[in-house]
Amino acid sequence: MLLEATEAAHSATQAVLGLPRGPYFKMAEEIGGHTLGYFMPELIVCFTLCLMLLVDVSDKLRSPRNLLSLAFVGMLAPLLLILGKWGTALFIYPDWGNLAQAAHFFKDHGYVEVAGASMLAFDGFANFFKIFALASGLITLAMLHYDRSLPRKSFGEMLTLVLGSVLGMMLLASSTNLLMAYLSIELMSLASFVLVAFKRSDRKGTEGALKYMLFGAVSSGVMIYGISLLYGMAGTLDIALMGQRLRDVNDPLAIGLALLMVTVGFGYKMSIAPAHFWAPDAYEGAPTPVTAFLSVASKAAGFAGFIRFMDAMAFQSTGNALPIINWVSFVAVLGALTMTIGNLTALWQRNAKRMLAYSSIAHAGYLLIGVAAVAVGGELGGDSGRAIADMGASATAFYMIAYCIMNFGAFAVVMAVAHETGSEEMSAFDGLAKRNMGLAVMMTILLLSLVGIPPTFGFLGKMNLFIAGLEAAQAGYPIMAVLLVVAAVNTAISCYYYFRFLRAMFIAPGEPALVSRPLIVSNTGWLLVGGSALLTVGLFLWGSLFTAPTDEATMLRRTPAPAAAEAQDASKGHAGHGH
Amino acid sequence: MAAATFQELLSNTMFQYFLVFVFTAFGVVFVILNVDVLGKLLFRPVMPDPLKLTTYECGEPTIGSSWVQFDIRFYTVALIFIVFDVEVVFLFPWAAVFAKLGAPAFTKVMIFVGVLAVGFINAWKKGDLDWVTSIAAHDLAAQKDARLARARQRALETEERRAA
Repeated sequence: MLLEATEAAHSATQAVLGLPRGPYFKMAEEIGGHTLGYFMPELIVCFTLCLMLLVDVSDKLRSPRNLLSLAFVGMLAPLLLILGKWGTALFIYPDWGNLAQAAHFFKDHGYVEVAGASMLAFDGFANFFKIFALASGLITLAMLHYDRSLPRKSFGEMLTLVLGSVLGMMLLASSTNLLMAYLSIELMSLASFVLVAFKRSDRKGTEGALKYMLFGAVSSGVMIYGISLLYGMAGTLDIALMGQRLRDVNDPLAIGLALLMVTVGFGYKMSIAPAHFWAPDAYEGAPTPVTAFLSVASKAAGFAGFIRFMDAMAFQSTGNALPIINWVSFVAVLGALTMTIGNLTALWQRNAKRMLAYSSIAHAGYLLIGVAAVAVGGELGGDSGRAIADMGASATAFYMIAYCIMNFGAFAVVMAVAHETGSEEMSAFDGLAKRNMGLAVMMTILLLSLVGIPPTFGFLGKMNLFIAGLEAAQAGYPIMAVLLVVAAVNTAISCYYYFRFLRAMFIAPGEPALVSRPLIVSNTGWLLVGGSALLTVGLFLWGSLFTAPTDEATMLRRTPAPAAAEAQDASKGHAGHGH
Repeated sequence: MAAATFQELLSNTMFQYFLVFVFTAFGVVFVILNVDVLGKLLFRPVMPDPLKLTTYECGEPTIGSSWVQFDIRFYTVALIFIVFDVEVVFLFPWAAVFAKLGAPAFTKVMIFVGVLAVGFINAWKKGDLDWVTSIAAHDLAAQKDARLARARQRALETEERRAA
C-alpha cells in the first residue's frame, strides 16, 4: 500500500518539479543490478568517518569546530538524501497517518537486493530507522557541542565513534541477513562501549562501560550461537528464507531455543528485561550526550532488527502444526516485565540520569506493545492480520519519534543543570523554578510527555500504542488486554517518579545560596531544550488538530491518500501477501 | 528386528544427544580414573617438595608473582597487529586469483587497503606506535602532577599559617 502511495507521491512531486516521472521502488533485477546508489547514504557516512580520522590528526585542521561541522555534514547529507528520495510522501501528505505509515512495513515492498547477495533491504521500514538514527546522531552532535565537561582534545575520536555507531544502526535497519545483522550490532556496540568510557578518569564511566561490554560480549555470544543453530537447521542466513524453511523442521525445542538465543542479542540492544542490567550503570556513567544517544538511537536500532527478525519468524508459525514459539505471549510477557521492572526500580533512584535510565527501560516495555501487536498480526495472517501488524509497527515507530524528542530534551535539561551545579543528583533540581523558570517549564512539558499526558506528543504516541494493542486484543488475544492493563498501571506508577522532578523544581526550597543565583543556559542549551519542548507540544497540536479523524476513529490513517488510491486499485490484483 | 529398532534409535535426535552424553561422560570418568586414582596408586608416587611445587617456566627460575600490571600499550599494538593480520587473510585469496579478476577486484582491494591505511595513519600520528616517546610523555605528566601536588601543598600551608 505504501509502495503505491509513495510512488504516486514521488511521481506527483516530479511532475510539479518538472522531473522525469518514474516509480521509485524497484527490484534489483529491474535496475540491472546497479544498486550501489541505494547504498549512498551509508557510503557517505563511511567516507566521512575516514575523512574524520585524517582530519583529526592534522594539526592545522583539527579544531573542534571543524570536526563538528564535518560530522554534521556527514550525517545531514545522507539524511537529506534518504528524505529526498523516499520521504516525498511525508511532505505531500503531512498528516500523522502518513508519517506513521511511511514508517510502514516491509512486507509487500520490493526488496532491493545488493549484488544478489540479499544482505540489505532498502524499504520504507529501513529508511525510517535510518532517518531516525541519523537524526538522533545530529541531535547528539549538538549535545556534544553543548557538553562542556568533555575533553576537547579527543573530540575527533568521539565524533568518529558516534558516526561509527550510527553507521551500524543504519545497516542493522537494512539487514535481511542474520550475519549482517550481527555485524551491524557489533559495529554499533563496539563504538558505544568506548563512548560510555570516554571520560577515562571517571570511575563510574569506566565501571559502566565494563559492565556494558561484558554484557554485550555474553549476549552477542549467545546470539551468534543461536544464529549458528538456526543456520544449521535452515541452511541459510537470509531471514525471510530462514522463516520459510524452518516450517519444515520438526524440532520445536531446538528452534525455540535458537530463536530465544537470538532474541537475547536483540533484547540486550533494546535493554528489555531481563537483559537490561547493563543499562542503568552504563547510562549513569556515560557522558550525558552519549546516554541520550544510547537510550534513543541504540534502542531504536535494536527494535528495528528485532521487528524484522520476529516478523519473518512469527509468520511461519501459522501454517505449522507445532507452534514454534508463541511470540505473542513471549513478547507480551517481556513487555509487561520490562515496564514493571523499569518503573518500580526508577521509584527509588536519587540520581537524575539513573532515573531516566530506568525510565528508558520502562519505555522499551511500552514499545513492546507495538511489537506484540506485530506478532498478533503475524499469527493471524491475511488482510486483517496485516492491518494489525502494520498498526503495531507504525505505532512503535511513531512512539519512537515521540520518545526521541522528549528523551533528548530531558537529558539536555539534566545537562544544563549539571553544568551549573556540577551534580546530576535529584537534589540539584531543588528550587530550579526560582533559578530559571523557563528551564523548569520546559522540563515540565518534557516530563508530561514522558508520562503521556495530553498536551504533549508523548500522549499521542502512547495512545497509538494502546490503540494498536487494543486492536490486537479484540482480534482474540486476551493476553494483549492484560498487557495493556499492566501498561496503564505502569503509567500511573511512572507519574510518581517523573513528578518528583516537578516537586523538586517548583516546591522544594533548595539551598538559599544556590537559589538566589540564576541558572544560565547557553544558546545551544536553549536550542536543545526549547526545541524539544516546543516540538513536543507543537507536534501534538499538529497531530490532533490537523488530522482528520478517519472512519476507524484512530489517529492512524488506514486509507491510502487519494492519489494513491487509484494506483492501489490498479495494482490490487498482484499486491498479494508477501509469504 | 533388533537391528531395525537400533536403526530407528540412531535416527532419533534425542538418542544422538544421548550418545554424545555417554561419550563425554566416559571421557571424563576415564581421565579421572587413570590420572587421579589408578595413576596415583600405581605409577606416580606423590612426593612434593618446594622446588617441585614452583611454576615451570621453560627451565628458568621463577621471579616474582605472575600478577603483574600489564602495560596498556601492548593492547594498542595488539589491536593494530590484528587489523593487519586480518588484512593479510583477505589479501591472500585475492592475490591467488588476482590475474583472473583484473581491474575491478584490484580497485576494491585498494579501497579496502586504503580504509585500513586511514586507521593506520591515525594511530601513527596519534603516537600509538612510539613506544619510547610515550614513556617520556608519561614521565613528563608525572613530573607535572608532582609539581601541582607540591604547589597545592604549599598553598595549604600558607593558608594554615595565615589562619594561625
